[in-house]
Amino acid sequence: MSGISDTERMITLKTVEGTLFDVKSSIAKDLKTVQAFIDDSDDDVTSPIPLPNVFTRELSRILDYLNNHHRFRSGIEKADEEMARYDAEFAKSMSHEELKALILAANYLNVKDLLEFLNQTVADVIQNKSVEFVRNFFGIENDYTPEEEEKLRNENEWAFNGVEQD
Amino acid sequence: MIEGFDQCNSMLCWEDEAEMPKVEFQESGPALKKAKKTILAAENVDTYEVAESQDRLGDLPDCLIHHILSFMETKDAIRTCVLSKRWRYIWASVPCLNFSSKSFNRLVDFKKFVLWVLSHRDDSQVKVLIYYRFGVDYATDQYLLNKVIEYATYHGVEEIRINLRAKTSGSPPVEIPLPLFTCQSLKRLELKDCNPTNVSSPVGCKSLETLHLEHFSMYPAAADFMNPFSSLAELFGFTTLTTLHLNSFTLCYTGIDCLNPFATCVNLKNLHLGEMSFKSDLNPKDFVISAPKLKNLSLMCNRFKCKIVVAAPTLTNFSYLYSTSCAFFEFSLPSLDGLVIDIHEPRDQLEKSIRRKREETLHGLINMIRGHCKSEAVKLSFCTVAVTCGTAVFLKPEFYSCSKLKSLNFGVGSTYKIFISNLDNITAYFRDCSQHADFEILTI
Repeated sequence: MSGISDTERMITLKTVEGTLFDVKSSIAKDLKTVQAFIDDSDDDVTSPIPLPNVFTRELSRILDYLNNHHRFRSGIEKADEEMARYDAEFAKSMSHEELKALILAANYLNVKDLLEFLNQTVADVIQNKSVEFVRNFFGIENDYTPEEEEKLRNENEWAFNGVEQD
Repeated sequence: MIEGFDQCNSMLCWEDEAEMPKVEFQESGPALKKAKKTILAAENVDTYEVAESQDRLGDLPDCLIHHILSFMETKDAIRTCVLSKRWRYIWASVPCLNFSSKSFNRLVDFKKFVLWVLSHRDDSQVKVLIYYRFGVDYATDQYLLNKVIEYATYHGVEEIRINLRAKTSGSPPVEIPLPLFTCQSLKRLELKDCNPTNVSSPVGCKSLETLHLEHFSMYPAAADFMNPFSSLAELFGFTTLTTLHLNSFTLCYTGIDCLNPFATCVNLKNLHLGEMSFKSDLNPKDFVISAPKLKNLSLMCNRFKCKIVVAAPTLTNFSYLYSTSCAFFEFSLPSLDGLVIDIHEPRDQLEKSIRRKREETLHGLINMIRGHCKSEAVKLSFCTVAVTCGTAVFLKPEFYSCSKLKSLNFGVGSTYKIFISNLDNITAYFRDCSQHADFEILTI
């Protein structure tokens, strides 16, 4: 290992489209998949690490989130309010498609805190929504016959009270 | 909130290889190493774009779905069974059970539902159990609680949160089921709004790390009044705890000495006491906090009328929010190095009696600094208490004692601009106290 301290080292990541991102090693630690790769490598990782499942749009958002959170946490005063506001804006700025894509990317890269936040956001979005809405959101095709679906709903009637109608 | 709560660890995905659809992630190391050898030629970009749109619209893998569903009540998670055949039984292996009676019109429906879930769920682990039963009567449903706890402990539960608030009378009496105490996997427990009737038990918890008790009191008939905490220690295993939160707790005490309830908490790192009080104002002489590994202590709005002595040798963070008058704290620590003290007071505090209490708080602080001539660096963070800091200081000139304080960090909250003008007085005072020529005052 070279003599440079950890916080100064930069890691380069390459997305599917070939875009390169320079990331501080302190931020890269939150991308556990990447960190595992670095740990597993025998030599210093100098060439860009390719991420075959991650697109530029997602990586850019993930790094944005991590950079901001690092900034909030290292401040002198607790920036809880500011962080909450940032998180709310962050969630609102994405369409459902983008949210799902980001979840898959965050899952692949194993970014624990972000994944927790994103999945909570999805849970909030689909809570109390109609079945059609949720199907659309996840891109699910209904393979029940109308009779099967009716039967299932009747069996679990109590679960469908107070929910948005289709 | 209980710290360290981890509902459905995304790491689950890595173990769940058999169920992973082909488009998803693989074992990180080999995938990236393999990818390193692949050259992403420009002509491949198009193929990726097609694959991209398919990936994005495809189903999320089971473990991610479990993670999402674990943020909802079980009742809502079950609704996903009608989405498609693949989703029919996904709810049955979500490692979280979240029952809240508020989502049901009648308690009898809630009961039927809970029992139905317990008998229709698969055998997978339950990591988290949340059971909130808001009753309208004085008694809680002991049978239902027993069944739920039995099920969860049998399925390797790690965290349990229970709230049994009754509409009319607050906290109903309840017998904590024995399986909760014998459960080896249980690490975090939160009990709110209940009065346990079992003040002693043949077995106590042996591996609890986090305990949170709120609106909780032990039935006085069997309690040991000399140490009202001894029941808790026995039932929940004080020696294994790393985090303890006690809120809105009423204790009975009839002794005349000091009370030192946390001395047996040999692993305790975080302690929070909020809105605690002694019944009939029977306070001990001193309330001593002396857990040997304690790092973070926070005292919020307690109603003690006795002195709180903080004697935890490894303390690094102390946070204090307003307490009743006649209560103040004092430190008895070997060293203040690295200690961060954070004092807040509610905004509208200008009445005389409250101002006097502030002075007492202040005196506690000054005593502490005075008594610790060996410390070299102390960090104090004031909010509105600093307004009176200046005046109180001049009332007691005998505080000019020898002090080796080399640096004093003032963290001044940006929302309270009023005391900036007094800061000069404060810093002048401390500068006078110090014998060092190079005494440094840093303001942030």
